[in-house]
Amino acid sequence: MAGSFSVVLGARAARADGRSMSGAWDRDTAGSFVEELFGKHHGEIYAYLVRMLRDPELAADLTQDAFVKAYRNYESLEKPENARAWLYQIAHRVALDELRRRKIVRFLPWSGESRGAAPSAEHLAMDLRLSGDLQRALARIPERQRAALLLAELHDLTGLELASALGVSHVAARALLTRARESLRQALAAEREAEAAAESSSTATTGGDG
Amino acid sequence: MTPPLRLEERGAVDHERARTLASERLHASLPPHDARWLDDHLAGCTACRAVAEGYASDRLELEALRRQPIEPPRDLWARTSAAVEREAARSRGPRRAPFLRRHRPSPVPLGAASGLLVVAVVIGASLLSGQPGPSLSPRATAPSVAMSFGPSGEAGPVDPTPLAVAADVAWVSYGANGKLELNQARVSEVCTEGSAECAPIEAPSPGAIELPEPPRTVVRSPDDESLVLVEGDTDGTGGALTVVPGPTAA
Repeated sequence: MAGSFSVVLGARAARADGRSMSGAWDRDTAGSFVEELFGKHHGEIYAYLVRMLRDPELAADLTQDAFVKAYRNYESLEKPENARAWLYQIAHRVALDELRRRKIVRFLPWSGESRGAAPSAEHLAMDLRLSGDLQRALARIPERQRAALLLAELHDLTGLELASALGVSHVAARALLTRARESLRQALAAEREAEAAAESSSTATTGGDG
Repeated sequence: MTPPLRLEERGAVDHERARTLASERLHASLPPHDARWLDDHLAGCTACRAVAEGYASDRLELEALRRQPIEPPRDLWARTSAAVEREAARSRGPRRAPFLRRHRPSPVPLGAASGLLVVAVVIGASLLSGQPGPSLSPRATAPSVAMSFGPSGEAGPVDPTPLAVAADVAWVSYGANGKLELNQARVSEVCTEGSAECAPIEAPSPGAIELPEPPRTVVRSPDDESLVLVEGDTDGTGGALTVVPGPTAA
């Protein structure tokens, strides 16, 4: 990626001309631009999608989709300095589309032999990371609220960037974030209560056996 | 005129405002008068103070998630750049509804009762030739298209399938002698219906087989050695399977 960076910068410089002269979609420029975006942001976009969907493989597919959409919609980016928020907006929509699709399509467990072998160590480590009570609480809150919290707290999107990524006004983004904090507080309390109840029930059972 | 709020309503509004400001203060600094009002309210409201402390503590926990690195797969750029290239290639030419150039056997007068029925199954290139098919997408499935011809010989509706390129096709048709024939051919190009841009499918070399009825569908056996012809009604009654040597095995 680093090797192609000078080419990328050259292509960016040519972009304005190409647009104003013809208004045509310059594929080479768009391709170089997406490559540059990928180099800078693919890690955080992937992490955002993993946290939103709790599925690393699906997140990888959707990261790919997000960058293809960035390429396709290159012309909709008005200011290059807003590229990060614009990319998050695309990724956010991709994630919401997937979550909506999950609500429509009912998945049945695969009862046959799995194509793959046992999950890799990386996969198991990722599962562990996504299985804490905070992660479970995050999974329980509405997805738009979850997105707002993740983008604000973990991905450092500022007020206007957050609003842009969420596709809402600045005021609406702040309100969403406030609701998200309250939802998370309640979900986390519920998770911890359930955990404590399970623990005391387990202790009681052990005590009864002994 | 809005009636004045009762004391408990006023209190509810204040608690709501305090929680909103407590949340907003975590993300941005508050105007001085809001900050002062919030501090005063929290000093006298245990419940709101607990909520505000909860927000702050949850925020610290969220921030702790940063210390758990989430590494993208190593092949993500390879996959993404390939997908972008496919997107670029697709947008280069005029969009057209893909249509598998169909093979139409010469019209054979078989009588109105028998008509002409062809069942075609496209089996992925990897199945028939043993070579891996083109890698189109990480989530793309093997190309699979079925099309049927009615008694008039006209094709029925075919779903657009940009995947049905570089695929091997096998189908069963009535030959000139009135017997069913097994055909195979390679489809290398997909065009819009009626387009003259695609070269026609090369003349297949059919192998004669005898069947009492035209099969409903043809599938490849898992060992690549045979073709299985599925006969019978679509309602699942009275069906039969006929196994014949596959085109490559024959």
